[in-house]
Amino acid sequence: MDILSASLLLAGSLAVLAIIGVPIGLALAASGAAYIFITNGVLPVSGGIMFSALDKTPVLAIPFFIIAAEILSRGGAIKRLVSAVDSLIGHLPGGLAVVAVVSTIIFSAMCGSSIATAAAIGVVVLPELIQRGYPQRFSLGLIAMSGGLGILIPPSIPLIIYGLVSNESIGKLFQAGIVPGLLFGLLLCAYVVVRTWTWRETRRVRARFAERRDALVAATDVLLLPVIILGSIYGGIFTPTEASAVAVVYALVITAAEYKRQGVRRFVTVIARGCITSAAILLVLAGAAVFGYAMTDSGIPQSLVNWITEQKLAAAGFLLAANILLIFLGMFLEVISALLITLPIFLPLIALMDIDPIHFAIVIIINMEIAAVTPPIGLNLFTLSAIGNVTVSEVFRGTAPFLVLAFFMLGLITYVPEISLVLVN
Amino acid sequence: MTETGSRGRASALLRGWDVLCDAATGLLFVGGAVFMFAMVVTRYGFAWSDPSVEIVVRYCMIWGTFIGISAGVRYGVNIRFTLIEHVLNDFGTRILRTLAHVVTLLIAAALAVSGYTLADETMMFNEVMPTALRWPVWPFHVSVCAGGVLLCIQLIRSIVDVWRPGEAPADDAAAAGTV
Repeated sequence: MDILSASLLLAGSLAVLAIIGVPIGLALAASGAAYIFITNGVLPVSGGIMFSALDKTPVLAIPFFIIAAEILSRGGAIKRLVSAVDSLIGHLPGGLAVVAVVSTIIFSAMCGSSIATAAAIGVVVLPELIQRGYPQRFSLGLIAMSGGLGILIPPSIPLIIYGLVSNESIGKLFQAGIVPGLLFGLLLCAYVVVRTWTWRETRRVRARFAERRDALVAATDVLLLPVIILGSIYGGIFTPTEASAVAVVYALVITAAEYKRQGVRRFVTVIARGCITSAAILLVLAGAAVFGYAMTDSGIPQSLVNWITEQKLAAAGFLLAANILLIFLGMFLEVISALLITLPIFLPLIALMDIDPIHFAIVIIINMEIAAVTPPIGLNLFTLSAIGNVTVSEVFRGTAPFLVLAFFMLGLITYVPEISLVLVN
Repeated sequence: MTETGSRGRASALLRGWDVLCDAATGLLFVGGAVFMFAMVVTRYGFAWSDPSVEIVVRYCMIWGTFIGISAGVRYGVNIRFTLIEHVLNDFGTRILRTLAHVVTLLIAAALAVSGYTLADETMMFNEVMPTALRWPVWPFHVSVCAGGVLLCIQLIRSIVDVWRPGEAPADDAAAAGTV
């Protein structure tokens, strides 16, 4: 089959299946399987490819981090975390809005998903923000955008998937996310402080020492989790997968009292929800493996490499084109699907352009942060819309000013690779 | 037995089946995490570790994934493109959802066949785990086939549910509150 026919078959069938509403993971698998069947005449191989895609130890980190985040967020841990941060800095300029960003940064170091981060922080902080007098639109936009930090600050599920597909070290990818994540967090805090400078009524009264002490003591176990996860990975004690398993058990232990109060039924529901969400994400990973196999077999990535070589496109121009493509795809696809569909094409191209794959991973992640808050398929918008009981367009209007910051951050990360690579090197 | 009684019994059976699938998914994933944690503890606490545990945990996760996919359809958490549904009226949404479920059903059937062939081949060649355990691999490969079959059953139920009177069920992650 020639390249054009293969491209049309793969892209066309995927588009049709996705548009009618077939789950993306199965749509990817079916498109890939259709190509394999037409070119090689074998269908059964797809099941084997899906199985092999999941049969890798680093994949375990994906469900384990999701389950840990689910246990923590429904088990009252986030409430304790936010209370501690609020008692410490809630009276300063920026008030609870800065508390929300700082809490998001800390929770991102336990959770690898932007939707889970936005949901966990949003459920606790959004009603309080509105109660303290912050405009609703501002509050929605802030949490939707800062939720994106969940996939930038390690552990990050998209970075684990990038590492699995590109064979890059997941530990190094995690390292690369730290400085950009903190920088973006600081940028959000700075913007919030400037924007809310005159909103004095939103600041809380400075907490008494005893209140601060009690809040900190109550949140010590939660605050220790990022230290355990990141410290153990970079201290060489655990692999990222082992750290994720430790996170699950640790989350179970520190929320046990709260779940005892909530009852067994609630606990089982939370666990089942975390596991089924994990299965949904792993299905995309497995389906994308079949699609990626077909794509590689068809020679599409190699043809693109040849075409780009002929165009003599510079790395800067390529990065700009990649960003535009990712922003466009991100408007219609959620993070993991966009990542898995584009990576088989991008990886040979970045090798050709001599772009560091770890730097490129962070560029992709910032794009995906933007994707999470851009309509029509911005999952953080949907999440905040459900939590705030408002329309998606209302959330998007609130997010617009923060998007400007995100685009600035994207430009910075794209053209200053040192920011991503400073810890890696 | 009255019609209502048999319907109630069928409904209770289906609910039981759902609980069983959810519990199996949860047990496989969380059990895997606990096993992995135990391996870390034994490695540091007792200087003992067995690579077989890691492989068994992986297989638990794979079984959990393929069982969980069908539960994902039930809870509406499988990642899918729902933009078109949002612009259609109730009837249009039901039609589109039925089409999506029917096409997915065909894909799930193909997945089941593919999984069966995979398990059959590994059984035929007597493939075993590459560690000291030497367990046969086919019971794990069966997960693909089982996942396809469970998905087919769930999709048939979902097609019926789409045409039940009342509002079309929420079928995206955010609406279902599962994010």
